[in-house]
Amino acid sequence: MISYITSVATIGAITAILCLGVNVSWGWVGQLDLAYYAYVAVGAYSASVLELPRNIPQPGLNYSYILGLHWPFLLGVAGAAVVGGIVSAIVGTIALRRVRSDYIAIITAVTALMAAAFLGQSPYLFGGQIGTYGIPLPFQSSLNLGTQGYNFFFLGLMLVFLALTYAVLQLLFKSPFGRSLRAVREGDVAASAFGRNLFSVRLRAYIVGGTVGAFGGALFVNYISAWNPSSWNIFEVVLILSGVVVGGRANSIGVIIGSVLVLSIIPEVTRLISVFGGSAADGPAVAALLAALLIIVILRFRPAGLVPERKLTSSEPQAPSAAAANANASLSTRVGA
Amino acid sequence: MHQILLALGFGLVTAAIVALSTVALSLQFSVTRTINFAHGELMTVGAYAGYVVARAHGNVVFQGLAAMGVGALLAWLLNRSLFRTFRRLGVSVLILLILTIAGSQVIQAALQIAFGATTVNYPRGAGASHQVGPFEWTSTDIFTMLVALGVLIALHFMIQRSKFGKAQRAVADDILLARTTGIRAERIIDITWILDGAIAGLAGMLLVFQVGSFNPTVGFTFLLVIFAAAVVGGIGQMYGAMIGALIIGVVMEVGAIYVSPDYKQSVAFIVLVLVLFIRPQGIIPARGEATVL
Amino acid sequence: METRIETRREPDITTAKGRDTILEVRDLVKHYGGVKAVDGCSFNVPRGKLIGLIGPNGAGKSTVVETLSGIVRPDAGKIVFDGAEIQGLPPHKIFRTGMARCFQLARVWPLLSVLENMLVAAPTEGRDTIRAALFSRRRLAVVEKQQRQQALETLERYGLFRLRNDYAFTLSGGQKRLLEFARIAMARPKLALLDEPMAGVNPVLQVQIEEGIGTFLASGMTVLLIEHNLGFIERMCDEVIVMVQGRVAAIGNMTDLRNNSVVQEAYLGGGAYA
Repeated sequence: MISYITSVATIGAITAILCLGVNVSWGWVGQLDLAYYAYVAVGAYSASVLELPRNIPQPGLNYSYILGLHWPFLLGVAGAAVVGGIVSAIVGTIALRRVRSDYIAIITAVTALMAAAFLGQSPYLFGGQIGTYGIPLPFQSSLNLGTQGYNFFFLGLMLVFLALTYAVLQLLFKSPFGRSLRAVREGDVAASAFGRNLFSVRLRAYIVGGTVGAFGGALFVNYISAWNPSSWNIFEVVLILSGVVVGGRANSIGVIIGSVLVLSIIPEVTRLISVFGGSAADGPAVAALLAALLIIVILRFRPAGLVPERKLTSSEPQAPSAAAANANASLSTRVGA
Repeated sequence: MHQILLALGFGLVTAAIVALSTVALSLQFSVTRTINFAHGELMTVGAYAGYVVARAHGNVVFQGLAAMGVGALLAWLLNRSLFRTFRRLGVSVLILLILTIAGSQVIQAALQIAFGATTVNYPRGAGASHQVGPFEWTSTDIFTMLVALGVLIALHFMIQRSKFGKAQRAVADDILLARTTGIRAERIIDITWILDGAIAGLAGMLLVFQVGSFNPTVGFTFLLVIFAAAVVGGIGQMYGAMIGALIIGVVMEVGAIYVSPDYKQSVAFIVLVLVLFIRPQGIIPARGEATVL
Repeated sequence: METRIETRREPDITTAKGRDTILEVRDLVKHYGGVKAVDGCSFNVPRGKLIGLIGPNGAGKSTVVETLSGIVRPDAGKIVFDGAEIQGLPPHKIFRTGMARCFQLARVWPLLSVLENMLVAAPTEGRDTIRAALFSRRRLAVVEKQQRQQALETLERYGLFRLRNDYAFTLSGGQKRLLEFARIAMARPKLALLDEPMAGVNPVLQVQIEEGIGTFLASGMTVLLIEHNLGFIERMCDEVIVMVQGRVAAIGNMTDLRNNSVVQEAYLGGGAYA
């Protein structure tokens, strides 16, 4: 039972990170990045080929992968994030030049489908249909914990990474950079008239999203120890998007809540479907169905999401001139004028 | 050379199917100005409808009609439950996109629960191969192309000559103006969706009739090719859609000679990207951006 | 100020020499299909003054504004702003040369608070980068504090202080207009381009807008004002440029222009706007 909960919690933490990443493009800038899950896959594949040892070709087996640098965990994850950033930079440069938001959505969706076909097909890049496997569990060799203990450790590690991601993204959100993103979202004509280079702003946000996505993918593959084309498809984007839409666009706490709700609770609950006489194999389909319906319902009745966006407020109780006047007044009384 | 001609022949068959689906998409876009990411599902349900009938009757006409009927029904439902509801709320373009994606998910999941996620085989007879000029086509190929051509010609006459066609063109041009002349735009939109669903459903059935095996994701993965054809031809332009489909279909098949057939879709993708860079409005300039009416 | 009455030729630009010109527009041309929206327009704007730009509808004023602010590229002609050629530059680069504008339909950022609207308008000077957000937090915090103070003071001056935490979309039309002015004040541009700020505005608000423009001028800003409210133009502007059919028809002060036959004719029977 406990290992079930830790497993769900671990995956939940990673999916929360993924949702935070999608939120950068969607919530902060208002651009729909349908290629997001491709970056997750890129991160997973990159971490694999960075952390695995060199491939030893087996005779008769059409299987190989590139690199194989046998890097340690942290380096592998960092490297994967960088690769995600680079790939998203390339895609973003192509996709974001056009201002039409519907074209952006189409190009990114198409890119994702392409990536799916390309990354998964070639047996030389990332192992083709078999994918990558055997990624060593992080730190296991040095820590040498039992299964239970290791699971707790890994969960703790993921929670640390989640907190780190949240903190960094909050820093960005509250900064002038984050404000520029939101201004571009709210009115790009005015944002441009006040000095924002629209393409540059959109691209930078897109790259941040791609980097976080790849980071999440790298963490994922280190947990599952394997990754192949059947573990991902474009529909995953919908699930992740639903976490953001349901939870609260542009609000990081809301996104985490939404992620937990849609991507942890719903799939787990649908596992119980066999109790209700349904076929167990239908579990994922029912989960997807519920998640998608939830998106529609939320957008109909509570479009801002469960936890709405926060705005910057000033807590100064008085206007500056009134404050100055009061200060003068108290000064004069003290001096006894 | 012979290879290229062969590929050209296949390209025409592909183009026929793509043309049907793309024309349906363009028709719907021209009137609603929304990009329907659930369009692929109209094809998928058509495919499954044909499949269900095919298991009972070998008559392709019944199968086709079933595909069209179910596709039309689903399209109408999509409009009523999703598009109309949220249009009235005045949501933004991107929210509508997300909604159509969610809708696509719901349909796919439902199909998966009903039919299973594994691939099924469409029951059809082996087609005899015929030599028509420089091209080599099976009976299936010829049947597909003839049906597509027939539907497109019928559509052409409907749009150009019939009262509905005139009204449809008016709404596509300027919906506010059309309303002021007494055209009931909501009804036109309804009928356009029904047409869209019927044609797309038929395209889906023809597609799986051609490829033989399919699963609930078949329409969605085909969407890439449809979008490419629509953008190349000019989104919202019916005749542009036909031209775009022709180009994409032929380029895909001819391109498959030089790259592995698995990368056929990549070819379509490259064409799409090129067009977006060189002539983003398409061959026949696209009608306006996606907005919410 | 001498009134130059034009029939066919443009006003002689050389007389601009000798006065400190901040903006010079030379032979600006912009066609839309077959329509010549701007057809050889030239004028100059002296530094620190309030210059009005008037003309009947269709005269090309909006197109001139769009060309100046970079939304539209001119087909021909030059725009020299503070010594540098800016024609064809995109809007964000033009802002950075020191020109800020307001819009006919007030464009505030709806889901940002009024305070945030102000902070976005403040010049960023390279602080809105990811690197700065992560590694220069202390410096950012210092600047942010200053800007908040400045923003709150400015909001108070425009009577918007009590709305500072509200989403900008909750503001009334007039309040949004004032917010646009406050934003320009935050941006501290060299030249403020005001596009029909009085459109549909009630008299109380008009007074506030006048005061706002006065504050701009007092701080050394140049103001180019496009308006239909001729009474206001007459009261406040140092010099007025009249555009007709894509060209400058006359330049001078309002009283003299009233008696100008070309201007009268352009405004359909003269006296209609008196």
